[in-house]
Amino acid sequence: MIKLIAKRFLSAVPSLIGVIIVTFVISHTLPGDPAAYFAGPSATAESIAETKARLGLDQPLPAQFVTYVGDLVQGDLGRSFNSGQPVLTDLVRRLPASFELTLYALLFAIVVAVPLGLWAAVNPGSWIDHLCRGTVTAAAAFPSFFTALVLIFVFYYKLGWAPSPIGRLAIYFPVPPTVTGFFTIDALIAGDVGTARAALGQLVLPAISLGLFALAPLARMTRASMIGVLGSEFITTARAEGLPRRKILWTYGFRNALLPVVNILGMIFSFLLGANVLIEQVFGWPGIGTYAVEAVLTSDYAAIQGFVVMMAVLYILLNLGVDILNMIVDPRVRYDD
Amino acid sequence: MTDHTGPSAIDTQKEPSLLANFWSGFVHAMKSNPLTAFAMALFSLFVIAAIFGEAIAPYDALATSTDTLQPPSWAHPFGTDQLGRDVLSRTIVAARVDFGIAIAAVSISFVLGLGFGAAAGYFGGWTDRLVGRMVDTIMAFPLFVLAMGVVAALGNTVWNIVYATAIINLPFYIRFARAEVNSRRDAGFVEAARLSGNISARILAVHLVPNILPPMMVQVSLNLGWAILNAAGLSFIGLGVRPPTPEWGIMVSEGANYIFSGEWWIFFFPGAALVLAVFCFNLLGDGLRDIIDPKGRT
Amino acid sequence: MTQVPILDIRNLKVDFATRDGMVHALESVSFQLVRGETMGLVGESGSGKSVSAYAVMRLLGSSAHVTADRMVCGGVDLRSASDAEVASLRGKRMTMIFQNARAALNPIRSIGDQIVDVLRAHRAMPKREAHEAAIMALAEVRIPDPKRRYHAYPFELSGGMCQRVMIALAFASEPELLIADEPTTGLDVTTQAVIMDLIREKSSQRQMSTILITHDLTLAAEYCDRFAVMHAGHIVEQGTTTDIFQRATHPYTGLLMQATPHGATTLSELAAIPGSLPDLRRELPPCRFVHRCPQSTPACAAPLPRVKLDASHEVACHMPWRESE
Repeated sequence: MIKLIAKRFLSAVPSLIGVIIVTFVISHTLPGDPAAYFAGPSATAESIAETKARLGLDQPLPAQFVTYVGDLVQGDLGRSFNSGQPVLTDLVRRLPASFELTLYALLFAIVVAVPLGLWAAVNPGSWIDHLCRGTVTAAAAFPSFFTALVLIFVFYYKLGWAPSPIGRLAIYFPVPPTVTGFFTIDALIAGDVGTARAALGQLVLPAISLGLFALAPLARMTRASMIGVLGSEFITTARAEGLPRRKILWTYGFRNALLPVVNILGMIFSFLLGANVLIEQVFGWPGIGTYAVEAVLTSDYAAIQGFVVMMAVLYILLNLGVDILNMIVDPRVRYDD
Repeated sequence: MTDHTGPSAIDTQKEPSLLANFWSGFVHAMKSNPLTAFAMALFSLFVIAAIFGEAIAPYDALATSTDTLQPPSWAHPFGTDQLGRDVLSRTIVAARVDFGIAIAAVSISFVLGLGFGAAAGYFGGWTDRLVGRMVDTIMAFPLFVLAMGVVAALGNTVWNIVYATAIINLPFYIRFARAEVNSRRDAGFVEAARLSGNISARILAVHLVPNILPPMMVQVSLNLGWAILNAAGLSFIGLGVRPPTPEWGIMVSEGANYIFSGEWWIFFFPGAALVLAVFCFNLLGDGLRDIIDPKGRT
Repeated sequence: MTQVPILDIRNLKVDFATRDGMVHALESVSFQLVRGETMGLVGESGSGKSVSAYAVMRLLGSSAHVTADRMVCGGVDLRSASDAEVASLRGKRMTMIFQNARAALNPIRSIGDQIVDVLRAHRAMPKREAHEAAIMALAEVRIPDPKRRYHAYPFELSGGMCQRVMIALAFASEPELLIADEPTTGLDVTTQAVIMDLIREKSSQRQMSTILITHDLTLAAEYCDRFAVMHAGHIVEQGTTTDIFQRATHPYTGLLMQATPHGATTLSELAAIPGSLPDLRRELPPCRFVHRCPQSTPACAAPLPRVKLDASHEVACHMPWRESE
């Protein structure tokens, strides 16, 4: 098992190399002259050249690449022009906010999509099946930023149920001492239920808007896979042996239906990490998404490059996690060569 | 093939062209699935809006007026925005930009994906490995993030949105074309063409590609919706299309500022148009799949 | 036959509603099975053997319309029993084993746990005791090293081993009726014999009744006391093994015998049965074999008789079979 996980880790290396090359190409073809940018508006030709030399931009591309990889290995993603901080520091500081949002969104999507898909599969052709199909088709068509705005308008502006949709916590609540970086959990650790509830309240709308986007593929896959499993021979056997219906549906049906669902989690993460940027933008969420948008709009090239690298590495790690989860639930994968 | 006496193992007949049956299947599907017919009608409306936008729109989409932030009325069914522009007119005219970006992007990834994928599937070996590596690298990124990076790198223009969307769509077409060609590479009719002295390029172009076009069209239709979502997402965060160009993503983004004062129509109508467009492409894709592969229904 | 039959089926009729209309899969299927008896259910593929079995087990989906004059297993009326009642019959009173054992086992559950599931479905049994019983069950079907194999998954076992697990599963709660649906198809000849011997041994130990569904007449002749021959959803003939193999009366049975290789038949002597099964979606003649029958006469258009030749031998035909020499 450990050996297999190690093997999966190694298989991620080519992707990682690809990512590094692509981000290098992206960061070194950015429009505008970064040296002129860094040297400031009042720079002379000499000071630009000097900055160029300082940044290593006068070196040939292969040499720059070596420096770039060396810096990456040391965790040096450069310095953000906007914040003046090392990009890594910025990103790490903002990462928990994005993580908290994404995880709650995923949780919401799974909690809604999986039962919906299962229910539809067990009662094909029923109203719940039609509801499932309808939800799936509709949810797939809604851009997350639009959903977010509709939710804000209805639940904040019209009904007043949701708190002001800006940031992770209303200003009059104390930020809980950092343990996990998740406000909801940290507040509970600190014993501050009021803050935890407020943080959760801030999360509801963005998490739902983000989660709705992941809901469609999840529900569709759950439904299709459960229908497939329920039609398979071993379910007939289980019925012929007189196993109770609950046992057949859960231990025999659901567990097997889960395998393809786990498999598409990688794609779901790709969706979520991308849509996350848009949702953070709508809700003024202080995560890495807003950071990246600001960086893109102001050509803060070290920040963009750091963001893309970090997202890609995160995504590779998440896919690795999905693979390991897959190994846990499916014995056949465990033994695969 | 050493046995010449038995029935020929090579099926020398051409695989029947799916395109030939396409039209009758199409008509049948429209009749049997009202949802697909609805999507087709909707799609026609969008196409008309995209082509004749300015002619249909009741107002000049760019003309400002003093009637700012007017709620929907008979004069302005979708209301007016902060500069007094007619939201209906802007929503109609925007169809061209959004459809244009999506269609251009999908065409590029379709052509490139078909080329790379078919070559990888047909030749195998190092061509396959190289193409596979490329696909893996693209797929190693969360796709929207990669698109952001590409636009940031190439520059903030509409064409770069097209390229970025094309790049992130590419892996799906490559994989699809590769799998389809690979599964047909050793089919009887290809073998027959090869034995009768056809060169690879000709076999690919004449015998393989036409046969994988119909299933690829399903992919295209489903993909167009996704491409529109991506392009609109990019312009929503301020990349690509610049104001005052009417485009759904930007219009939603601009309208977002007026939610807190209750002017919902500015963001809502372009957003709804976006949803309808994507919905329409997804329905069409599902409908097309039913025509081409009736067994693939889920 | 003074004994009360374990299974009593009279005039079973099954229709399937499909997109292309009604499929008349079974019509007036009747047979009885007494304790300890093994009956072979034979016929071409598509003749309705498996549908009969599934109908008895009530495993057919909602598209199937099942009617019968009588359908009783172990004293329970299968027509009126609720789903829960049928579920409690399955495994305990009647059970089934399938053709492709590997696909018929849950791929991600260890074989031992699957046996425990069956045991605990029918008896309140502490986990540890069930675990021991499952190991015993594996040992009984002669799976080597059962303690270790308890934790094996189906994909780690050979087809023959999987079929042994299937048998252990089927016998776990000591049912009275076993339906074996092509249990050896796809296995090599040696394994086939081993599996069949195992089934015979287990069922005779417990005085179980067995229905063996197969198209392999040579194999079936060795293990069955009685036969029912099916064609296109009808039972055309039933009788003892001697009745069927020595005194085949229905033209279809006769042709089937000629189409089956015996020890001395050469390939050229092997006759093929002309034509193919009729389309069960169409309006069907009373005798569904009439278009393939070498000796059909205009009289065959009359309603199908059920001719009792003696106490055990019954045929559904107007014209008895004459060996065509």
